[in-house]
Order: sequence, then C-alpha cells, then structure tokens
Amino acid sequence: MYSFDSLLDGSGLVSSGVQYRYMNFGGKAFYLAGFKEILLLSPECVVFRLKDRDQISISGENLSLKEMDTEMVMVTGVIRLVEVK
Amino acid sequence: MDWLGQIKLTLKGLNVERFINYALKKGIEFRSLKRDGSEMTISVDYNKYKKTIKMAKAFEIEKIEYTGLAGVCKFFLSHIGVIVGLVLGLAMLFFSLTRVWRIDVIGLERIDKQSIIEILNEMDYNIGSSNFHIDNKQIEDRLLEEFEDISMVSVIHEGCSIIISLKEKEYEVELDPTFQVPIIAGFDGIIESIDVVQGTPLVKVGDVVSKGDILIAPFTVDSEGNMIKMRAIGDVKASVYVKGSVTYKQGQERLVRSGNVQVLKSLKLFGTEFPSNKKVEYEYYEVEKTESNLSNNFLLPFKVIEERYYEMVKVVDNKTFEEQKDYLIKKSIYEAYENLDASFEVSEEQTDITEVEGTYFITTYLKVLTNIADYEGE
Repeated sequence: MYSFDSLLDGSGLVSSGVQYRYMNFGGKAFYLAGFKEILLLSPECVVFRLKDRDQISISGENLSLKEMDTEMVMVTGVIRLVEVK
Repeated sequence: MDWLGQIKLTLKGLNVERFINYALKKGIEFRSLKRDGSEMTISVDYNKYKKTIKMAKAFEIEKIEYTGLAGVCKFFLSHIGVIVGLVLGLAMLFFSLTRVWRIDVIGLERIDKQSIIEILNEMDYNIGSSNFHIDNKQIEDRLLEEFEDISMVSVIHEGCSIIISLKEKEYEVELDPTFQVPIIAGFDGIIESIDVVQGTPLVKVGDVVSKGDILIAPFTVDSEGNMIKMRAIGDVKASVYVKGSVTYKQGQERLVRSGNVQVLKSLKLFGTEFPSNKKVEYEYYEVEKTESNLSNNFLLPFKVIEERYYEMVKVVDNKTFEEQKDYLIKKSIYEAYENLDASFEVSEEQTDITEVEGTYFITTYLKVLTNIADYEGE
C-alpha cells in the first residue's frame, strides 16, 4: 500500500489534523489516510469515520474506492465536495 | 499486489459497509470497490479469494471473474480441450523436429540418386526416421566403400534434412600416344568461345585463325611442370565468313546461252562407252551430262549417257553498272550461299561493292557462328 506521509509533506495541498491526512487531486482522486471505518458507500457519497471521531464526507458522481486497506483509501470519480464534520 | 492476479466478485445484498469494515479488520485489502444500489463489485488479490468468499456468505455472489495469471489458469482449466490441443500440437511439433524429412544429394553426374538413397535406407536412415543418432562419418565411409566412382563425400545433418555433397572421380586421361591428336581449325574465322575439356588452348577469344591452325594442343602441364601428353578434347566456336563475288565491267565481252541445245546420246556397258558419231555443232558451249539405265534388265545393264550441249554466244555488256546493280548484288549473294554448308546458320549478311578503273567487284560475306574444331588426320 502507499505511504502518504512522503506524498503529503510539503505538498502545500489540503491536509489537516494529527489523526488523519487527506489530499484532493483536482476533484478526480481523493486520498485519505487515518480513517477508522466506512459508514456509507454509494456512487454519490462516501462517508468515513475518522480516528478522532469526526466524519469525512466525499460527495460527487460515480464514486468508487481503490486500493483500500485499514490505513488508507483512494476515492475516484467526480468529486464535488469534501466535508469534515 | 499478488503476482497471481485478482478476483473480481459481484455481490448482492444489504449492509455492505459492515462487510467492508469487517473484512478490513481481518486483513483483506480491496483493490477496488464500487457500489450500485444493492449490487457491489469488489476486487481482491487471488490469495485472499477464499477468505473473502467466506466472509461474504451473507451476500449472494452473482459473478466471479479472474484477471492476470489466475485468469489464464482458470481459462485453461475450464477449457481442457485447448490444453489437450496445445499438448498434442507441441508433441507433434517435437515429433516432426526429431525426424528426417528430406535427403538431398548434390554433385551427381553418373551415379544414380536412388542408389545412394538405398544405401541410406540399409543404414536405417529413411524419410521419417529419428534424426537423433545420425552418424555423418559412418554415412561418408559407407558411401566411399560402396561407390568406387566417388572421390569425395561430405554429409551434413541440418534440422530435418540430410545433405550429401559428393564429387565423382574424373575419367582418366588418355595417355596412349596414338591418341595425341590436336584440335585444328576446320575453317578460317574469328574465335568467339573456347571450351577445353582436356589439352592446352593455343588461341584465345578474338584471335583470327586460318584453316589448319592448331587450336588446342594435345598436352597439359601439371603443377610440377611436367608435360602430360593426351588427346585434345574441346569445342571452339568461331565466326566464319563465307564469301561470294562477281565482277562487272561495262563493254566487257561475256558468253551467254543462246537458247540452242544439241543432245548427244551414247551407250555404256560394264564401263565401256559406245559414243555417238555426231559431233558438237557449236563453237562455244556448256555441257550437262546425265546417266540412266536403259532398262531393268540386269543381265545386260546398258546405260544411256545423255549430253546436252548449250550453245554460248559472245555478247557485250553495254548497260551501265547502276542498271545492272540489283542483278549483280543478287548474283553475289547467290554465289555466297552456293559456297555455304547447308548445316550453317547465317547470323549476318553483308555486301561490299568496290570499283577499280571501271571494273566493279561485288562481294557478299555471310557470317556464321559454328564449331570449327577439327581433329587432324581424322
């Protein structure tokens, strides 16, 4: 599986928090590291529970997951909105 | 990433998120996940395939697809006929590569190819036999032993072919002195080609030779400088020119037939001639003589000799050369063909006209290409 730390360090792209990291590549691919579990999977919306009990919601069209393990996941499709609640 | 490839499962059921979370905790890594209503398509590594199926018991598995090496293996296992075909094909290919399918014999002149093949067959080298244990040296020795006419043999085994290259012995050179005959020119001509079988050529292409000139001498010199006498054998082709000519001078007297003919007949028996009493009435004449049997009686074989005397008269040519030119050219061509052997084929024809002090010389040359080699004294 991929290691995001090297990818995220100094990238200047969106990343936040200590427990998780994420990166959005032009609305076409979204990398997330540090999720706890998946709460919802549908073509329009994917929701993950994060390790600090927050939730992250990725909305868009034709969404699917790639290369998913316990640490990291990649969401592909047309990504329109990412919300951390 | 599993080198065996991946399994793609299409699952149908509810609460897929719970299944995903459970599988992740049990160490399953998903290569892809896509949900469409109650149907979800997942890809997992081939080595996690059985574990994933166990966990997905609550779901209805609609379709299983194999990719990568696992897919190839699955295809062959489910299409056993293809495997059998491939195995049979490979077996046939291997079989055909280990057989002899062709025997070539090069360099044969007097020896029959079939007799060589028969020797090979006796040695168990047949078309279709195994080519694993072909002993080239053994074949060479056997062929040299069987055929006295073979001076050198080389056997090559290449792929499915046995190639036998051999050289037959040359005929021994005639050393009998009575056969030391040179080749001489039978005609005058210009040499066009020389093909020497034995002997030493004394002329080369382009040389002008006269009838009787020696073309190929009846000896050769070996590598140590020794002269070996032999009969000269070979072909020498040359361009030979056959000539026909006439002369013409205006005002010149010449004899022509007047049209009067006198016939004199006489008898001949056993070589004794009984001539006619009549005499020839003309001052100038040409005579044609024929001889025929008087009857079919063989007891008294009389022969009749008929002599036809054509009267000749003197005429003076008053016509100019230009008026006579066409006739004279045709006459010179006719004269040239009269001198030509019937077996020769004319390749070129040329007529020259030369004038010296009012006398015209019309000469026609016929060029023929022929073998002029002739044996002296034969």
